[in-house]
Parts: sequence; structure tokens; C-alpha cells
Amino acid sequence: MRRFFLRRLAQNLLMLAFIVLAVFVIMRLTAGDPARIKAPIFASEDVLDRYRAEFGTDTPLPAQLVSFLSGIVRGDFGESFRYQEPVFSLIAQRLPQTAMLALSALLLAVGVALLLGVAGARRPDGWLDRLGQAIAAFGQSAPTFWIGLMLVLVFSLGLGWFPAVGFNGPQSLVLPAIAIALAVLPADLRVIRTAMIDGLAQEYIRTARAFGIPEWRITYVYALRNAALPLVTVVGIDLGYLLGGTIVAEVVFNYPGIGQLAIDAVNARDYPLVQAITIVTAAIFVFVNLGIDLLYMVLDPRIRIEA
Amino acid sequence: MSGGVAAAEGPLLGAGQGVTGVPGGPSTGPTAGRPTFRGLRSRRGGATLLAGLVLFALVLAASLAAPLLTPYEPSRNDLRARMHGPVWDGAHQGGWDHPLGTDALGRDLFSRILYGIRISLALAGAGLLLSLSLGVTVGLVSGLFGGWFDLALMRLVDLQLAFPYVVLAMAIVTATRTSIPVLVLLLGLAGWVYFARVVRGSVLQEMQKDYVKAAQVFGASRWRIGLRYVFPNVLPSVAVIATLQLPALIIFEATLSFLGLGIQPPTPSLGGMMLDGVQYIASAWWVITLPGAAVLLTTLGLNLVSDGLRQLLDPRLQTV
Repeated sequence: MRRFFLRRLAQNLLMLAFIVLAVFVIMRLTAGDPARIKAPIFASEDVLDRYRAEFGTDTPLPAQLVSFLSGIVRGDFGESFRYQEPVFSLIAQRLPQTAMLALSALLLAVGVALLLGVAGARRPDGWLDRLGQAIAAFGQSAPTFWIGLMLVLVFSLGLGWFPAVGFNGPQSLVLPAIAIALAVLPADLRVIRTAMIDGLAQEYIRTARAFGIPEWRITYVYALRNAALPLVTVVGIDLGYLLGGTIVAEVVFNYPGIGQLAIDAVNARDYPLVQAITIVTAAIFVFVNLGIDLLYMVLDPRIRIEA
Repeated sequence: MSGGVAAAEGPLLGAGQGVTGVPGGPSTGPTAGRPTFRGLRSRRGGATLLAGLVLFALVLAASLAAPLLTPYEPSRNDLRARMHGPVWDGAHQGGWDHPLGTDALGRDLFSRILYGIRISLALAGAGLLLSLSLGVTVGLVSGLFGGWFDLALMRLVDLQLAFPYVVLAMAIVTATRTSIPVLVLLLGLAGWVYFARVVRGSVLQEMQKDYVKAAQVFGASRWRIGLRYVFPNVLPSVAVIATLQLPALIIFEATLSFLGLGIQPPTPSLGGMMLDGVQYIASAWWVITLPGAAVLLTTLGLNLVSDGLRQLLDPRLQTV
């Protein structure tokens, strides 16, 4: 088990290192000169050189890479062009908000998928199954930002139930979380439904019924265990959509999180900030995936034994 | 899972073949009847496939016939007809001269949407071709040759699957500024991993089969086996992934344009129209609602096609 975990850890760290390297290469090779981005358009060469010295882009590329990497290890991602503040603290301020939104969306999606997936598996083609498939088809076909806009139109501008923009308390989470959850829901629902149909067809379910164990217990305890592993897998896959969807929803709802920060940074060509957000997202990603691997080991003894 | 049921129905590809042009897989048996409309409809997934095809064909036809359906140029302003509502919204001066209303510059929304769908489909289609060729090549080579090349490629696939692509797209756009080639490249790089993964899996599966072993005994080269024997059997899965990826790419393009990272004005793009509409959300609901509804109709049609195909061609893919 330890070996399995260590191997995963090594793989994931390698992946992270690769992402950092890729970000460096993409940004340095394609963006050209950050000094030109920051300096006024008609700046003279002298001024540009001063900016270059400030960013350290006047040194050869390998030296830049070394200082870039050592900065990252120390948590120093440089200073934002736009806010004139260390990038790291800008991100740290916003991160909890984004995490809260993403987590609410995930809980909502998994909760609804569990309810509808179990119902659909118990009674395929019943009305709850149909409802689930309709919601899934909608979630799969409509862009997240548009769902967000429609929710604003109906529930904040029309009915006035929820705030349309910003963050002032938990009621601000509701609409963006629904918009994000709808994007993640289809995959969750499909996986849970399939696993439950499989689970309910097992021999031990028939045995349990013969023993007179109540039906709710059979469904939610005995059969649902079957869905645990596939569910963890799909949540791992969801994560990419979840973070992507959160970024988009934050823009729609003007929600003060990483996504909002990122899009502002892109529009202002705030190059150190974009770079840092990419790397921080990647790091979160890698570590959450590692957590999922750990969860796997807890849930599936076979992995523990093999490793 | 419905896999067992569908597999027991016998040759699954007979009906699908005629309608979709997907080459038959190994299960095409002697009992595969002539593809008929009713035959297709009665198969599991057949009705879904047909509904999706009809919906998508309608959207496609409307966008291609745009010059016939609407007299307005998509980018022509008419400042005397600003912010008219759609025809059923009398409260906002809706009328038949602009059936879906106009935006803040008095541009006709119906024609902008039709031309916007064209652009969406063209971009997503180009992205799909790119990701399909890249992904299929990588998957074939990976599956056929294995070894460290396979290992490296599959780690790359994992890497991309793991990473929120929007963030990567943002970084790239910051670095390069927006242009159509960059956008197509971004769309192409978004989807190739799915093809690579599924093709590699299918190749590994096919390589275990007796006919491949027989070909090996006869001295066929790896390339020949790959292209001549294995590749045709991988095509049904590729078709399913393609129908799944095209709507995903349409949504992705709309999202990028909505974020201001994709198509730039004045070119009418569905995402860009909604970006314009956001500031008028309180006064002109139709400007943000209708382009999104157009995206929804297009992708819904394609998703139904893909669901239907999945059920018809390969029940195992249901969980992908």
C-alpha cells in the first residue's frame, strides 16, 4: 500500500513538474517579451531594458528557468502587472471562495445524481429515470455560462430570490452552483445508474431480499456500495470540468474567485498572474487526484493487496 | 447495464450502417437485414438517433440557407430598430420584420444567429478534424507499437485529461492573442485525448484476436495489420467519440468567445453575441437567451445522435 502511494506521489509530482515546465515554455516562447506588454507602447529601448532587468528577462533562457523554478519552490510567483501586488497573495485571497463554490457544485451534482441514478436503476424507463435523462441531456447540451445567465434572468431579475452578482453570503452560491453542477451531472448520473443496475442484479441482493431485509436498506446500503468506486472515479474526472465550469460561472456571476481573477488577468495581459494561476490550478489538481487515489485504496482492497 | 441486452440482439451494425455511413464492425453477420426506417426505429437507440439527426439536419439546413431565410446582413446596423423584442414579445416592439428581434445596434438577431451557427459549426468541425486525426494517429501508433513511446503518450493524455483546459486556453491566448488559427488549434487540442485513448484501447483489444494472429503468421507487417485490419474495426468507436466531441467543441467555442478569448467582433459568433448581450440582460432578455438556445438546439441534436449511435454500435461505450 505504501509502495502504491509513493509511486502515485512520484508520478503526480512528475506531472506537476511537467506542467510547470510547459507553462514556462508556452509563456516565454509565445508571449515574446513581457517588458513590451507592461511598458507603454512607445517606450524607448532604455525603458524596455529597465523593465527587462526588473523581470529578469535580460538573462539567458536557462538562467530564467532556474530563477523561475526556485521562485516557485519558495512560493514566489512574482508581482502582478496590474495590481502591483505579489501574485501569490492575490491568489491566496481568492482561493477559498473558489473552493467553496466548486465544492457546493460537486455536492449538489453528486447528490442529485445519486437520487436520480438510484431511482432510474430501480425503475428503468420510469418517470424519474426519464427526468434524470432529460436533465442530463440538457446539462450536456447547454453551455454553463448560458445556464448561468438564464438562472440570473429568472431567479434574480425575474423573481428576485437570489443575488445576481458578487458574493454576500451563502445565498450567492446557489445559482452558480446549479449552473456548474448541471455540467457535471450527466457523467455522474450515467455512472451511478449503470453501477446500480449492475449492483441490483447481484446474487447477494436476491439473498438479502430472501432474508427479508427492507428494500431501502438493500438499495441504499447493499447495492449502493457497488457504485462507490465508479463514483470516486467519475468525481476525479469531473474535477477538470468542475474547475473549468467554476471559472466560467465566476465570470458570469461576477463572483470573487480565481476564475474572475484569471479572466481579468488575461484581458489585462497580466502575464505573471496568468502563469501563477495556471500552475496553482495544476497543483490543486494533482493533489486532489492524489487524494482520490488514496480513497481508492481505502475503498478497494484489491489495490492494497496488489501493491 | 443494457450491454447484455443489446449484444443479445445480434448484429448491431446492420441498420446503423445504411443511415450513418459507419463501416460495419466484426459483428455484422449474415442475418443483418436491409436497413429500413422502421427497422432502425425499433432498435434500442434507433429512435434517439433519428430524432437527433432530424434536429441537427434542420439546424444545419437553416444555417446553410441563411441568405434565403433572412434579408439582413448579419453585421448591418439599423439604429432606428434598436432593441426590438422577438415577434411574440409585443411589449418590446416585437414584429415580423425582425422575427427574433434586434440587438443594441439594431442588428437582426435571426440572421446573426444563423450566420453564428455557421461559424460555430465550421470552427468546431475544423477542431474536430484536427483532434480526430491527431488522436487516431496517436492511438494507433501507441496501441500497435507499445513500449516507451506508448508510455510517454499515455502520460501526456492523462496530463491533459487531468487539467482544466480552459485555464490552459487562457494562458495560450494571453501569450498569443486571439486569431482564428489559434482558436482552431485550441479546439483541436481540446479533444484529441479522447480519440487517442479509445483508439488505443480498441487496438489493444483487436490485437488479441485470432485474425490478427493469423495475419502475423502470414508475415503481415505491423503497419499493414494496423491500417488494413485493425483500423476499420476501430472506426465505430471513433464515430461515437466524434459525435460526442463535436457538440463539446461547439460549447467550448461558444464559451471561449463569451469569455472574449475566441471570435472577435464584428464576426457574428454565438458566444460573442451573448457577451454583447450581458450588459443589457435586465432590459433585453432575448439578446442573451436566443443565441444560447441556438447552441442548445445544435448540440442537443448532436448529443442525441451520439447517444443513439452509442446504443446501436457499441453498448460498452455507454460509460465513457
